[in-house]
Amino acid sequence: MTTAIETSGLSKDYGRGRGLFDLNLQVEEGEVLGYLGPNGAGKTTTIRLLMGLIHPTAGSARIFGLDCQRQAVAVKRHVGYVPGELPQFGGLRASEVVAYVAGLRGGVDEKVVAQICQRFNLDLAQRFREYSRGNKQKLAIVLGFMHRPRVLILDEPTGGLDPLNQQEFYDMCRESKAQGATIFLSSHILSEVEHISDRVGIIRGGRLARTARLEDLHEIRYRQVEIEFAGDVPLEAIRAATGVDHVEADNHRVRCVVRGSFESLMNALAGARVVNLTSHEPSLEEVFLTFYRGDTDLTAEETGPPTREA
Amino acid sequence: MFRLTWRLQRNGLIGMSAFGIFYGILQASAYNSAAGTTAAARRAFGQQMETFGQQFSLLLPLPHGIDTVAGFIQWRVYGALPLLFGFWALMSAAGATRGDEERGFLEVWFAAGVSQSRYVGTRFLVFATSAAIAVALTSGAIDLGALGSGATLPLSALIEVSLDLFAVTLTVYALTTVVAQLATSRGGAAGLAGFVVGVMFFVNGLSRSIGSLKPVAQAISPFYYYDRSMPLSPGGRFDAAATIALAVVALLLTALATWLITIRDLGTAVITLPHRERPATNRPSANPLLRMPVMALVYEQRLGTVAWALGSAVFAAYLASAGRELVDLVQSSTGFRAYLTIVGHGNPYVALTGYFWFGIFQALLAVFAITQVARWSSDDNEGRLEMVLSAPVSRTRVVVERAMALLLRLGAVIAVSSAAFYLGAAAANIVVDPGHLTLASVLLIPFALSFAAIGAILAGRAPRAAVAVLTSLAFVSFLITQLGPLLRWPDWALKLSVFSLYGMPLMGGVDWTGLWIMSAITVGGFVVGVLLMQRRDVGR
Repeated sequence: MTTAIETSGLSKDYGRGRGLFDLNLQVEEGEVLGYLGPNGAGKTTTIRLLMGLIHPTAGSARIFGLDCQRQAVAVKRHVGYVPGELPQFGGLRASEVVAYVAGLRGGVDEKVVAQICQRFNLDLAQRFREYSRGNKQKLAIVLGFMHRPRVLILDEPTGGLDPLNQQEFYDMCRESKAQGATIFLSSHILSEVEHISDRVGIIRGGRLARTARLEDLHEIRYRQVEIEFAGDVPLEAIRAATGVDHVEADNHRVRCVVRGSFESLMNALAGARVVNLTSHEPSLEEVFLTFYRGDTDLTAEETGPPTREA
Repeated sequence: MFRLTWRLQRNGLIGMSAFGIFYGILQASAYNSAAGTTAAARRAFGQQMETFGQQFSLLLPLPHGIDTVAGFIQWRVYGALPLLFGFWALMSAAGATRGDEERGFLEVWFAAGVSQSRYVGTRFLVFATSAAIAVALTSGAIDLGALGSGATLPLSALIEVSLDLFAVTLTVYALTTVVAQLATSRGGAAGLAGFVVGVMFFVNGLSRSIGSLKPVAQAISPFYYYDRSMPLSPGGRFDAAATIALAVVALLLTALATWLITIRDLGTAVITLPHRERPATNRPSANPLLRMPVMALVYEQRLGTVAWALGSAVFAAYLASAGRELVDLVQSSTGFRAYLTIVGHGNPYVALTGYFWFGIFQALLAVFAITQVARWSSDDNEGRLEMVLSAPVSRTRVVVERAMALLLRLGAVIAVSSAAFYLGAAAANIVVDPGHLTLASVLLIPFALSFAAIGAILAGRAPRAAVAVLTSLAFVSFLITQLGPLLRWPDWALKLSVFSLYGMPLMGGVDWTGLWIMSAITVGGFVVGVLLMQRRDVGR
């Protein structure tokens, strides 16, 4: 498989610990990487380095083997970019903005433009300044997708879109992926990443904290369990069970957190009169929050699941 | 609210105060070296300058009492300050009205319960406070400079002239606040207000030598009322009524702006052209210009180009058509005859009319170049450059396209204005040689491009500071043409000013040295601009 995006020790140091540090990342062709992180984590800095808009203080980034700095023009022939915030085009009509950017890029099929506009119900006859925020974002999507790029770099692309249009956008991403496009999707919305990503990279404080396949990320999830007993509570056995944490007892009711397999907990409950057992699986959002709330030093691939309670 | 808007105004205050202090000390302390220290030398200097100063009556009041430090300061320093403070007021007001709106501040403030009157009032109050501080610091610096020249300025007169400057600055601010209600963007507001204030300024300037324009200046120009007070000049007086009138007009205009902002929707102008419904489309525009390199940029700025071309053309035609009257006046007055020695031999009607027009046009084109640089800076700050560079477009191409687009726009503005000048002159029976006029017009291109090239360097290095630095450079360049002859600077020092590099091609032919220097600045500036653009980070 060809590597579409590759960064090697990529760093941008803004001073005072701000920026991006030592990013080593590979995205294979046809893969969708969700790039997750809270505000200020370094997501946009990464994207701007990939787009050759800013210069790294160390390291390098390549797209299809082309250096994002030295061969920036060649790189952008392959790339479609959707910024989080569209520039001000003032009094130009959206149709003029599309024509202008299409002229810069070349090779844009007007039918593709029309198709995307139809999907998002976007009228290009209006002036840019008359657009709502959502319509501006739709226009950004048109500009990013209209030339059918091999690589899509999307910086929080669904901001301002209503849920129906968000779904339409996810569908478009899936279709692009099906056609072989590589997608680098920056977001702080886990559900968005869950919709379309194959793999997730989590960035925190300018450093890549973890990359994992989406299903692997699910494995780090914990479950909140509540058990109701008819008789005695085997509290010590539950506390001693592997993977069971934060045990709280309240009369005949026990609450705890289970990580990984339930087998040990089930063994601990053997012989007890369980009348009810509920297991609540937190959303990826809650897992994500747990990940960020922890102040443990999380670095690189080998970092395990969070050990703090949600 | 006051504290918040104060922060927005703070940088302008610091910049203007620093500039005012520098300008004040420099000008006031220059007196001794220019005029000498003996009474006889100063008398001779005074007579010489009163003749020489007539040449600048378009920009400065008519000189009076130049053989004293106070008289010199009244004419040279306080004569030029309304233009500088007026420019600051104009940019501040355009930023405070349309700039705040573009950035979404108004939406947030109005949503938070701030009323329109409170917003306009607070902004006005903050600017008035800033202007008071800047004027006080500048006047303090002028007083120090005068002390350096061995003179003590009368405190009461210094306060009076400061009040006069303060009042005219407030009037320009309030006027711009009103005019800004007719535009929909910061740039549009600044451009429109610049045109209105520029017309008022030049009408007043022309009225100093053309008596028939005095009633017009009296009716429309705040600068006319500013000129009414000359408290520092020997025998001069402070026209309190004129200064109070300026302040009252400023308050009335602020009230009018408040009313206008209440009757319009956010993001719109008070007067909107009838909205032409266009059928919905999902196709890109078929306009071929948008797909052509360079032409897309020209198309995007077409309205500004047309406005500049028409505005300059009207002015050129007016000045040329009044040329015969103007030149007759010059020839009939001993005081004005110094013009004839400056423009040399040949037809005095062509020479003098051309001298006046091309002098003004140079200043206008310098401002035009600065507005273009402002656009380049905003491309960066507002994300358009990022969008362009996300397409397969090199940074070199960006700079080259900008230069080419400016060249075309300049060509259009200059061609239309020169044609208007030619026709206006013909209407006044002044026959201008088309070849010489073409030469003089073409040479304005390297002149204006020189400023733009310096702007390209600044926009490539520090886009946020580019306009302020370039404006200062243009002003210093202009100052050299003013101070140089006064201080008897050598020829090479005068050539440091881009204004003096242009020469007088309508009558004197090409100043080859000047042309080479302007060409070197243009080419060198854009090359350095490319290099800096390559190396810097782009983005908001």
